[in-house]
Amino acid sequence: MQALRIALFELKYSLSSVQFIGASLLFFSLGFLLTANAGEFTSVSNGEVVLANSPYSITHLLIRISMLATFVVPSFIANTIIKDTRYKFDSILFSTPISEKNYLSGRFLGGFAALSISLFLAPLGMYLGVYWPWAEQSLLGPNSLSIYLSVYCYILLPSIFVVSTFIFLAVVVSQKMIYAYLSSMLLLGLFSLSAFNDSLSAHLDPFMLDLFMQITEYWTVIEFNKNTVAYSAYASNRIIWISIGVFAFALSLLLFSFDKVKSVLNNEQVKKAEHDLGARLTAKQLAFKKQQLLLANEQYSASVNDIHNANNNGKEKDGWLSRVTTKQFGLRCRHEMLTVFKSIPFVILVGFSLLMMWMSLTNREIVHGVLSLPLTSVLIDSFSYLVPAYLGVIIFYTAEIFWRERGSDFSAVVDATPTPNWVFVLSKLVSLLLVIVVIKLIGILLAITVQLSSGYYQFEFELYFFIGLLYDLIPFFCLAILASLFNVLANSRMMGMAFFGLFMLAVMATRDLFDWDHPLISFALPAMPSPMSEMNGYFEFFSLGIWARIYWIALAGIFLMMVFSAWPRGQETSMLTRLKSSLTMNSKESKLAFSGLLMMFVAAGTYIYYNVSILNHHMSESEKEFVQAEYEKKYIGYSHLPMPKITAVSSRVDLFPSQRKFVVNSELTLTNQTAQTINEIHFSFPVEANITNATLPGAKLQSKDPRFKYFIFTLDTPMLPGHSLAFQYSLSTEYPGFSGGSPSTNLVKNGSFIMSTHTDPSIGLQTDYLLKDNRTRKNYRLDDIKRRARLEDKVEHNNSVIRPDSDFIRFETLVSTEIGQTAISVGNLVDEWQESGRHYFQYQASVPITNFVSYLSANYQIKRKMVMGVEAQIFYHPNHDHNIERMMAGIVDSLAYYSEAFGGYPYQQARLVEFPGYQNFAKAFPGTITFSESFGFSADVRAGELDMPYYIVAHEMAHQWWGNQVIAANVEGDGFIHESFSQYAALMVMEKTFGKIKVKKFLEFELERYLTGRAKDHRGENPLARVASQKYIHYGKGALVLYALKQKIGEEKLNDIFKQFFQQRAFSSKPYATSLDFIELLRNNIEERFHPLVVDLFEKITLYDLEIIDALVTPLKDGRFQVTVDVKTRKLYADKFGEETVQPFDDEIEFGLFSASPSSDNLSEQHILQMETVKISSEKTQLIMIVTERPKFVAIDPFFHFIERERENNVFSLPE
Amino acid sequence: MLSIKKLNHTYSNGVNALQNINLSINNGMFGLLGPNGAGKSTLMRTIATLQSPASGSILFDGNNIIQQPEKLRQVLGYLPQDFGVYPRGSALELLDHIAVLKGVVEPRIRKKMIEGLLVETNLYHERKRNVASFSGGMRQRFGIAQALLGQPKLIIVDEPTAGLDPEERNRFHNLLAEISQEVVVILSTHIVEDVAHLCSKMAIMTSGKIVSKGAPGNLISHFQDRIWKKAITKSELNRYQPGNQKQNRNGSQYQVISEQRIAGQRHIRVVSDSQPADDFVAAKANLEDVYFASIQPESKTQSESNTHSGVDHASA
Repeated sequence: MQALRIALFELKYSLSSVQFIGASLLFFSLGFLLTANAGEFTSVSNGEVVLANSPYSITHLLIRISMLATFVVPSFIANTIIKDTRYKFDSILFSTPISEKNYLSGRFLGGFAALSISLFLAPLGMYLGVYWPWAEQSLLGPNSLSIYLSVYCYILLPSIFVVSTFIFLAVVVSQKMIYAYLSSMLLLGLFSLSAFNDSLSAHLDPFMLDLFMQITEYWTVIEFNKNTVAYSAYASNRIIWISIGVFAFALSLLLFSFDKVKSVLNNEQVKKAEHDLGARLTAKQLAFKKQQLLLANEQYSASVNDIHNANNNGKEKDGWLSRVTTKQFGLRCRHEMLTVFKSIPFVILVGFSLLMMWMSLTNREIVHGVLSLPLTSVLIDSFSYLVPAYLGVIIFYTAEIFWRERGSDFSAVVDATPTPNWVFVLSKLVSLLLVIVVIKLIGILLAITVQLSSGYYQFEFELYFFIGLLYDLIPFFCLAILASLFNVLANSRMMGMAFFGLFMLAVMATRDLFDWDHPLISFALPAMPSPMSEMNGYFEFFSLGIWARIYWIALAGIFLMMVFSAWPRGQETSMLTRLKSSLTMNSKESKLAFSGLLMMFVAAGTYIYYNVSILNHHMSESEKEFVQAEYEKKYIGYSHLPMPKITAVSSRVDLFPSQRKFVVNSELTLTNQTAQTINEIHFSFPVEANITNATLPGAKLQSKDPRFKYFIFTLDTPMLPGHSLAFQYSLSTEYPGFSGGSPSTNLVKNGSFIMSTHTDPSIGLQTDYLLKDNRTRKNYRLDDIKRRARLEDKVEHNNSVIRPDSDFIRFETLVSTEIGQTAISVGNLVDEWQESGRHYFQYQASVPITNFVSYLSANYQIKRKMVMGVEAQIFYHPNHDHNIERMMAGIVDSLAYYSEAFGGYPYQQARLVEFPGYQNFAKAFPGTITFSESFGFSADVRAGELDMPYYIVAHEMAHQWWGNQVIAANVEGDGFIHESFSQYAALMVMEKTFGKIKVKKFLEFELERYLTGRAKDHRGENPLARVASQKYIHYGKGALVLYALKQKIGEEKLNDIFKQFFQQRAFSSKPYATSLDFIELLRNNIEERFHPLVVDLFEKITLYDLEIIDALVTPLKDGRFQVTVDVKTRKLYADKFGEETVQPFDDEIEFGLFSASPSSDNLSEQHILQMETVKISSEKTQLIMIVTERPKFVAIDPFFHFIERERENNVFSLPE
Repeated sequence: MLSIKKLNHTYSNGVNALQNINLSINNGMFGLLGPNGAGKSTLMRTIATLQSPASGSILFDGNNIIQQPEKLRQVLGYLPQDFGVYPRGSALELLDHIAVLKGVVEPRIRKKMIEGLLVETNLYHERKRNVASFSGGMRQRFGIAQALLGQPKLIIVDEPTAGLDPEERNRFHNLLAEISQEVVVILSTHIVEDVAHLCSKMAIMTSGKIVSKGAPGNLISHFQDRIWKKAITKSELNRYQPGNQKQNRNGSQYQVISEQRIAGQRHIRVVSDSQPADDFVAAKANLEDVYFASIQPESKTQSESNTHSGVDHASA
C-alpha cells in the first residue's frame, strides 16, 4: 500500500539521521545507567532498598524517561513534514499522484516507527544494565524482560503516541518547528498543572505519572519490590489518551491538503494582501510624493554635510558615529524587542512560566496548610520559576536574533550598510537583556498583586530592585553574552543552540557527576546560596554571590570582546577563522579593556579563593564524607572505654555579633558514674573551634589532634567511681569572610543562636560527626550503623538520649554581647550589667537541667505576662508581632493544662525567642523555646485554618515536661516519649481551645505524614514503642495513636497515667525513661479488655481497612429515619517492610451521621447529627441507626481514630 | 570615480577568483559582463566592502575602500544576487529597517524618502504587503528601492534581471537609466542584451580576469567585417565546436565563437579576417559576438582584445 511505502522510506531516512542516532544513544545510556549505576539515582528511585529493577522502579523510571522524550519527539515527527517545505521539495512531491491521506499517514507512521525503535533502547538499556559487571548487586533483583516489554507496550508507547499526534497536528497546521516544541511544553505543562487536583489529575496526565503515583502512593518497600500495577488500574487512562491521539491524527488528516500547505505558509501574507492596501493615489498625489523624495534627499544630504563639516572643523571626532549611531542603536533595540514580544512562542513560554510562578506565590505553605505572610523576601523565592523563561529566551531567542540577518539572504544588504558593528552587536544583546528585564518586571508586578490582595502593604521595593532586578538577573545577562558568542562562532542557528546546550550539560556534569562544587568552577550557574532574613538585615550572606557576579561579569566582558572581534560582516568565513579572529585584539583600546577585565577576573577569583578555600577550607561533599569516615576510623576504637559524665557546667560565653565570633571559657564537672576506674578521658571539641586552653588537674595531655580537635588526657591517679574532676577549657570560633556552600548562620549581626554543640566538647566520640547513611558508609568501608540501641539494652538505659555523655547538670553561665543587644540563655536572669562597652547577663538554672542549652543575642522587643507564678517572656524582632497574641495564648493555655495534667512546671520563666529564618524549626531548651522567624513569626493563619503557631508553642511547651524533666534513655522508643507525648499534650490543648473538628483536620495532616513517611523508609518501619529516630512515626503515628487511646480509655484516665509516669521519671537518670516503663504502667492501670489494644497501638504496626459498602435511609412512621449500613472492617499487621497479614477484627468503632460531607473543609459541629460507638467483631457487619433528622452522609470512624491507607470509602453519600 | 588597481583574491579552497583586476569607472552605467562563475559576484562583493581582497586597492572619490569601508558604505547602494527577504515584513517595514541602518535616522526625512522611492518603483500601492509575497519583478524593484535609500553615489546591481519577464525588464532598465546620471552604477550580468542597451562603458570578465573593456560600440567595431556565419547540419556539429580553431582556405586561422539556432536551423558564427569558405556568409558584428569571442580561453581573438593595463580602447 502506498502509505506503507512512504512509511518505509521515512523510516529508512530517519534511521540514518543525526536525531535518531543521538536520541537512541541518549535513551540507551539513560536506561543503562539507571540500573548499572543505580546507586547514583536513589533520589529519583525512592530510597535504597527499593530495587532498581523492581517492577515499580522500572515503571516509574521509564515513565520519567517518556516525559523527557517529549523534547525528542519533535525532531522525529515534525521533521517528517517540515523537511518537504523547508528544502522546497514540496512542489515536486505534491504534484505526484500520491494522495494526501497516504502522504500524511506514511510520514507519520515512518517517523513514529523510528521514534519507537529509538525509545525502545531505554528499557533495553535498563535490562542490559543489570548485567553490568560493576553494578551494585544489592540494589538489583531478578531480571525479567517481560516487565520491560509490558511497560514499554502498555505505558510508554501510548504516551509517546499521544505526544506524537499532538506534535504532528501542530506541525500540519502551522508548518513551523517552533510550534512542535511548544506542543511538547504544553503537554508537559498539562501534567504539572493537573498535579494540583487529585481526582481529575489521574486522567489529565498523558504520561500516566500522576495516576501511577496515586496508585503507589502509600505502598511499602515490599510492595515496591514485588507488585506490578495491574493493567486494569490504568487501562481507562490509556484508552482515553490513545483515543485522543487518534482523534488528533484524524484532525491532521482533515486539516491537511497540499494546497493548504502553501497557503498556510503564505497565510499571513494572504491575510495582509487583501485588507488595507489603501486607496490608489491620483497622479497629482504621486507627483507630490516624488517631489517629497527629492526634498528628503536634499535634507538628508544637508544633514550629512553638516556632520562632515563638523568633523572638518574639529568639532566632533567622527560625528556620523555619535549622532547617527546612537539613534540607530535605540531604533534597533526597540525593533528587536518588539519582534520577540510579538512572537507567539515567546508569549506562550513566558505565560507558562508566569503561571508556574503564580502558583508558587500563592502556595507558600509553612506547615499543615498554613501559609506564610506574603513577605517580599518570601515571594522573591518564587522568582526561581521564571528561570526556564530566561533560559528559553537565551537559548532560543539569542539564536533567533543573532541569526536573523545572517541566516537569510538579506545579510548582504545589511552588511553593506554603514551601520557600525557595535550597533548590531549591542542592540541585539541589549534587546535580549531588556526582554529578560521585562519578564522579571511582570513577575514583580504579580508578586505585588499577591501582596495587595492579601492586604499586605510593606512592599520593600529596594528588595525587588536590588535582588529581583540586579542580583537575580546579572547571571542571565552573562549567559546571554555567552550565548551570543556561541551563535557568532557557530555555523548555523542549530549549532549555536547546541553549543549552549552542551554548556548546560557541562554545568550539571561538574556538580552531579564529578562533585566539583567550588564557586570558581561556575559561570552564572549554578546559583550561589544567599539566604535572607529580615531579622538579620537581609544582606549578610550576599558576599559570595556578589563576588561571584564580579567574577562572571569579568569573564562575560571578555566574551563580549570576542563577539565583537569575531563578528562576521560580509564574508562567509569558517568557524576556525571566526574563532581565531575572536582571540585577536587589534586596537590599543581593546588591549586595555582586555587587561582590565582580566585583572578584574583574577582579582575576584583570588578573593573568592581566599575566602572560600583558605579562610573557610572549602570541601566538596565527598571530601567532607571522607573526613567524617577518617574521624570514625581513628576514634571508634575508644568507644568501649569507661568515661565520666558531665554533671555541672559553669560557662562564660562572649558573643561578638559584628565580628561573627564567640569566645568560650568553661568549667565542666566530670563525675565517674560507672562502676569502673577511669584511666583516661577523651574530649572531642567542635571542629570549627580554635581551642586555646584545655586543663585537667591531675592529668597529662597525652595527645591533641589538631585536625579533629580530639584531646586525650591520661590521669595521674585513676578516677574512682563516684569521684569528680573539674575540666577547664577555652575556645574561640570565628566565621570569617564567606564560604563556598550554604553559609553558617549561627553568629550573625542580629539574631545569633548557638547551642551546646558549638560551645562544649563531648566526652568521647562525637556521634553527630559519624556518617549516618549506610550506603555512604559502605563506600568508605564502614559497617552499618544502627540508629538507636535496642530497647532492651540495659546499659543504655542509664544514658540520656539527648547527651549520652552527660546526666542532669547544674548550670550557670555568664553571657556577654555588644551593647544594644540582649543575650539569652537557660535559667533565671540573676544579674545584668554593662562594662567596657559590653553588656553582661548572668543566668542560673534553679533546677537540674539536661545538658543541652543555647545562647542567643539580638536586639529584641519583649512581651511579658505573669501566668500562675511563671513569667512568660516573648523575645521578638520589632514589628514581627503578627502572631504574638497566639503564641502567648499558647504558653498560657499549655501551662495551665500541663500543670494540671502531668506535673509542676519547674522554671520561673517560660521564654519564647525568635531567631532568624535561615532555618525553619522550633526547639525547646529548658525553660527557653527558640522559634524561627520563618516558621512561626511570619505565619499567616486565615479563618478556618489550623492555628499552627499556637499549636507549635503548645508542643514545645509540652517538651518542658517530656524531654526536659523526663528524659528518655539512649535506646529505641525515645521519640515516643519526647515527641509523641508532646504531640498528644498539644492536641489536648488544641481540642480544648478549638474543638474536635480542628483536631480532626490536624490528624488528617499527621496521617498523611505517617503514610508517606513509611513508604520512603528504606530501613523498615518500627512499632511506635521502638521508634528509632523516625519522624513520621513519632510525630505522625504518635499523635494518631495516643489520641485514639484517649478516645478509648478517656482523657482523665490517660492523663492520670501520664502523671504517674512523670512522677516516676522526672529528673531520673538511673535509669532514664523508656517506652517499656510507660507501657507497663499503662497495662497496670487500665482494664484487661484494653490490653490487646495496647499491643496493637504500641508494639505492632497495625493498619485498618474500614469501608462502608452500602447504606440506605428508610423513613419511619414516627417521622424518624432508619439508616441501614453495610460495613467491612479489617485489621492488618504489617512487618518491617510492609508485608501485611490479616487479623480478626474485634473493636469498638465510631459511626457518624452528618448533614454535610465530613471530608469537607467547612465541616462544623452543627453538621454532626449523631455519633454512635458500635462494637464489631466480624469482617462484614450490618448495623442500624435511628436518627431524627434525615442525614446526607454516613461515615465510619470519621475522626481518625484508626489508621487507614484508604479513607475515601469511609464516607458514604446517602441516596435521596 | 571608482578606481580598481591590481585586485587579486584567491579563496581558501584554491579558486583564483580575481586575477589582477584593473578598472576605472566614472559616473554612468558600467556593465560587467561574464559567464556564471567568472568572478563577477566576487568582484561586486569586494567593491561592496563585504570581502577583503588578497591584494590590490580600490579607491572611491579618493577614499581607500579596503582600509576604510565605512566611508563607502555611507554612500553605497547594493542590490545583491539572489536577493532574499525576511519571511515577515511589509515593503514599508523592510525599507524602514534598511533606511535606519543606512543612517537615515530622522523619522520625517525617512518617511518621505521611503514613500517617494516606493512611488518611483511603482510599489506604492503594495507598500503594506509582505515583501515575501511579491512577484519576481516586484521584488527586484523593491531591491532597487532599498538600494536607492540615502542617496547613494555608488550603486552595485548584481544579476538583477534574471527571472523577469520582458515588460518587467524594460521597466527595470528605465529605472536604472534614470538614476545613473550623477551616480556610478555597476551592472553585473550575464545577459548581453542588457549591457548593450544600457551601458556606456563595459568590461568582460571570465575566469577571474578582465579580458576586454571599453565602450560597447568600440568593442563591436573591433569585430566589424570579421564575423561570418554558416548553417550546419547535426553531423557537422563535431567539427564546429565553439573554441575550435579551423583553417581558412587561404591558410590563416579562424575561430568558431558560437553556435546557435535561428528559426530552428543550426548556425555557427566565426571570427575570421577573411571569408573562411564559400558557405560562410558575412554577418553584422554585435555585442554577443564580442562576448563569445572574449570568453574563449587562449584564442587568437582574445589576444587582440587583451587588456592593456589601465588603458581603455579609445573611441573611434
